[in-house]
Amino acid sequence: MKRLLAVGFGGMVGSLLRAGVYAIVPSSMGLWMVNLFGSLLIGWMAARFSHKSAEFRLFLSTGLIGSFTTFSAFSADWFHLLETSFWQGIVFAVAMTAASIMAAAAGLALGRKRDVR
Amino acid sequence: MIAVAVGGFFGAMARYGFYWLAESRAKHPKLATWFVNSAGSFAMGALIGSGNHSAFWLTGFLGAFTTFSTMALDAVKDFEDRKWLQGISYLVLTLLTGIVLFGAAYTWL
Repeated sequence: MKRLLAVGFGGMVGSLLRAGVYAIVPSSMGLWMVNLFGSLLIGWMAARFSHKSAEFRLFLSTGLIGSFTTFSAFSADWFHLLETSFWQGIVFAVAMTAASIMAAAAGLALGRKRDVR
Repeated sequence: MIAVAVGGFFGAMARYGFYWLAESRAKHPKLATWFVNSAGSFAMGALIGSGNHSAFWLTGFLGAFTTFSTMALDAVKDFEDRKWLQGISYLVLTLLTGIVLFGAAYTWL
């Protein structure tokens, strides 16, 4: 129950932050921002917080970042691009997926670095 | 604002429910990511297609129920383990089921 609520409250914060980004920038650009930044953060957190409690990780990674990034709006944008131009849609989907993977890998690498302070 | 918060609260918990199921039953958390993203895309298509633009469902619940970052991290872990084929097929399958289900729901529902 505690874990479920940790995810729920994380989801609440993550969704509000995503809505905040959408309110500031146009939605097509907002989707790039949340998915790339969120992927970078989830990678960093996976490396950095691996020793923290399950509740802590569920709140931040599964809840907050998991909800900050989104797939359903990605499918919607992709579909509308495909309707106008098939190749534009393909390029969009491949580019966002590849960029998010690179962001997650970069986040993991950053999180594994020892603290230089 | 409140609609987005409440929707996100329930969407994230619903997604966690599927992780819990996938881990306890199949030991494959990636199955849950694939499932929520596919089902979420389907629901998104059905809602937008029928002209429903509720912030609770679109930005809140479905926005939080589906996730891009977990999918990216899942793939990176596969690539680190040199499971290239597994990582690529997971991504291609998720992208394809997402777009096909969104399109089908958007067009026909």
